Amino acid sequence: MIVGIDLGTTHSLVGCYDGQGPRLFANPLGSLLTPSVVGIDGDGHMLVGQAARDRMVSHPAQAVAAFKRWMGSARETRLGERLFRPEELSALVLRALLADAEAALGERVHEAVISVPAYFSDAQRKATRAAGELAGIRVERLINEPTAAALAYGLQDRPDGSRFVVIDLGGGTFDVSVLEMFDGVVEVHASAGDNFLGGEDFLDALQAACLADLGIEAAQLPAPQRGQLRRWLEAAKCELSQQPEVHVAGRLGEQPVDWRIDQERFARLAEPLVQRMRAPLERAMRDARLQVEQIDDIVLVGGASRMPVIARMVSRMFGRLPLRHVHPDEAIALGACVAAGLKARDRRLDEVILTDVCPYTLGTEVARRDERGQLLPGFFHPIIQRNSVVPVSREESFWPVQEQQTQLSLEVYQGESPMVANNIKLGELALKIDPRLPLAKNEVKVRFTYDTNGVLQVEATTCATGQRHELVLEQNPGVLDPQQIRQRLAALAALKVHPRERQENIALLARAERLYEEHLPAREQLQAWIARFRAAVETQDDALIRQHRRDFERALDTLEPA
Amino acid sequence: MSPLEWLGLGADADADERMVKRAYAQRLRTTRPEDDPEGFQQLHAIYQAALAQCRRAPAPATARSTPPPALATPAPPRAPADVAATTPFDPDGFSTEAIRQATAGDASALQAWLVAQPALWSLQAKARAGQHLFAQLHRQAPPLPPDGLAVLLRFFDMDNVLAGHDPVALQRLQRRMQLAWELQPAHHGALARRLETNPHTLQRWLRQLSRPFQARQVALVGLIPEASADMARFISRLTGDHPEDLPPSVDLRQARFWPEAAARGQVNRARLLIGGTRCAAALLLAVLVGALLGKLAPTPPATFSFLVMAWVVGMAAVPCLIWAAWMAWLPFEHWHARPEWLPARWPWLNLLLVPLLCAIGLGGWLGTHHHPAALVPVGLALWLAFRRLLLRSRGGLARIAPRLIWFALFLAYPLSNAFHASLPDDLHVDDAWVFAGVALLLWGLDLWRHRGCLRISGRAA
Repeated sequence: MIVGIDLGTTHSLVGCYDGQGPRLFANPLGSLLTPSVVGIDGDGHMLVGQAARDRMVSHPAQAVAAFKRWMGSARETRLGERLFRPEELSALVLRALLADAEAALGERVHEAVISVPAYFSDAQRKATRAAGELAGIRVERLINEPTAAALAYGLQDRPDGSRFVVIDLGGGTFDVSVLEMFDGVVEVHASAGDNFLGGEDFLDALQAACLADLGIEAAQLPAPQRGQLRRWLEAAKCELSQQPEVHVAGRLGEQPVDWRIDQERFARLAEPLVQRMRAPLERAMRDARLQVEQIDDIVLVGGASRMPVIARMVSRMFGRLPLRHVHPDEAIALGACVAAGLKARDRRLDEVILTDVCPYTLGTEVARRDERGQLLPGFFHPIIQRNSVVPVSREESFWPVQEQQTQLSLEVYQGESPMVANNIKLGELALKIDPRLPLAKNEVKVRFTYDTNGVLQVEATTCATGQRHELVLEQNPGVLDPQQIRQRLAALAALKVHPRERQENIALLARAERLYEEHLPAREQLQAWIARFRAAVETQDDALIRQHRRDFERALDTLEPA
Repeated sequence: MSPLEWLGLGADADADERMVKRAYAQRLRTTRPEDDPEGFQQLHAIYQAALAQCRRAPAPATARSTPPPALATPAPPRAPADVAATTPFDPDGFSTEAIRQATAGDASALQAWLVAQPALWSLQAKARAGQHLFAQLHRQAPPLPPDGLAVLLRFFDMDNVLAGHDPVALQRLQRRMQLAWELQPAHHGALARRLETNPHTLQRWLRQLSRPFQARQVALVGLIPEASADMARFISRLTGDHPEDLPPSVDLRQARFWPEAAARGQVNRARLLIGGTRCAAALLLAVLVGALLGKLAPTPPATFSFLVMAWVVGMAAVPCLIWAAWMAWLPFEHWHARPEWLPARWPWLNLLLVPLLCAIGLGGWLGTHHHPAALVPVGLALWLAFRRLLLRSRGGLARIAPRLIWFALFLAYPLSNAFHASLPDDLHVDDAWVFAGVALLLWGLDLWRHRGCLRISGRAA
């Protein structure tokens, strides 16, 4: 069985494609959304999901969130005694999701389709694959998030031959895809995006405004209180999608907080972020060579797309209101499930064929001569243009720039800037050439091949000798090699994790500890409840624990109406 | 086979987009991108060609209408809800106003102004505005700081490799606008900081640059020691070696003159003018000093005054003559040591000059019974062959050769003595033969290095 996974910045989901179509699995707490947060508790057990998220408030140093933003980099985070790479943190989330899937399916899961932002780079995609391997599964395919959303959306009853734009604003990434569907073909025309723009940034803007109004320096605020404020503001941001004005009240340590914000002010705060969404949208439309009138529908997915400012921006640009997906949080995961079904060659999906694009330009560095014949190095020469339909293979010829050159260095870059200095270097290859030959005879043919899995293969042939060279683009800086993956897999297996059936108790305790931080007056009461519940857990009597858990939960709900 | 035929739609143009897509979808079932990458690429290319073909052809009346393609038709009618449609967009007025905003110099204000333009929310209007604006910028090159240009490039997404802008032209535009900006008097302070010079020196240099070019004036400035080198360095740092991009407030002939005047190893009018003026000044000074000394001498016998004069003028004349000889020699050497891929006059002579000189020298040597004057052509050939080898090779040899030459001069005498001593008594080799041999050896080495790309063979082909 292949599962589909949406590994998001703030939430992750898992599901599969079965008899009734795509189906998502709930976690032990009964929720389809598992927060992408990893933490560690007092006795060194790893926590994933809601428990870790609550722990972020009560013990900020012992939990980490939003690590998807660091994928593809070598940044490490300390949790307890260990340093974790973003791949490993993602792997822990994946393991929790897989456990949910296995519990629901009653069988081992070995393969998965994982969704990634369309604009994820080569290194980020490799890191996601590595995370899958670290979680003990084979990643059958990485599917672009807007494409996944379109699969989920488009397979419902859509009129044939429609074109639409999927706008995906998640917790940390922003993606746009322009697609067309006809006769069962889902054809992606163009994708664009911003890997550092998401709901978290809107929350940052809100937090900055709030702290400025309260006259508090962000650096002075102790970490638990900052976490607390962030939780309130997160709730306020969600409420602002429905109400014209929201009131945030409470106590931050000694300081009382009484802050109001209305939609208009929030729109002003969000304006710079909304403006940043224009460029990817425009680029996607331009690359798809479509006009606004040729688009049949605009679909918003991703949790952050609920904000009214987004719909307003879209209607300004497209001159009509966007469609909102029924479940903006689940659309991508549902699409990933469909993609898993496609990969498994599910009979009901036989009619569906998906063609995707390469979201970024791939090319080499070249030197150019200016009008005076001076040699200028450092220009980017595209070989595979962005938004080419994959798989794609292109060949171009290059010549040495100077007479008597003995070597031609082929540097492979990914990016959109005309200067390589602003692009990402993927690798290089030095080719020996014959310095005695005239320039025109020293031709080197370079072939770039980009496949459906997003793997780039570079092949160079020196025409004079017929020699062929191949460049393996596995070893990007910041990406784990297979040896390291094996080592870290063993290390991760040694980590202590609470058994699944105890997850509910753990999450409840984490919630109580967070409330303990947040509610000064109720501290003694909470302490007593926590002690009583711990004692009940110690008895290992299931019926008793269940009874206590229900009572405890009800008690906590009185403090914090859900 | 036409793309439509390939898709099984017949050769005539009565296939519409809808049919092409259906045929493509049919074939895609047997040619899935994951299973048959090559087949899929071929199919997709044909599909694209077929789409392009039926978009070019006017759609038949019976065919289901499809929206007009983006690029094939000029400006399709806008949707009523399109913001720009309510107020007609005037790209000319927009460009002028945008340039006015940009030349104010505040990048963040420019950004705020751009995002506040309601008309630019329309994709078509924005594309048109961007094209128009950049065309105008290229025409006018107004004074604009680099961050302002960066804002414009980012906003209109022109700074991407597929935007169709020539990056070299864009760099040049940026240079021109930045120079125009920096040379405004209000920004001289910032310019002095960028160039790390003090503002007074900067003012002096800028005054010189903005003066209309006059041979007499620049020759006088050139008399100051290091003046031309300083000016050349200043221009190079100011413009990044692109003096042609200076704004019209600067005299372009000045901007071109000084780098030329400071170019070592070249002969050009600027160098000749400056050098000639310096020689003339030195000689004049020498005559004056000589005359003065002759007058001031206490008891002047007539001959004494003449001796002083000759001595002083000679002191000045010798460096002048050496310089003149060097100026005369340089073009000759440039011609002879010209890289093989550049055309040269008299290619055969260029190739065979060294053996020719050797032959003349040795002929003279034998004909005149070892007259030393016959050694001159051989020595010349040796020097030419050495310079040719040196200047025409890249990399390692060019780096070690300057040291090698001093080493060789130092060792020449002991080596030749040792060589003569090592020979058997009955065999006597003249120095002339040794020189000629070495010259031919160096010449042959150079020839061997260039065996693949000789000018002569290129001409024959």
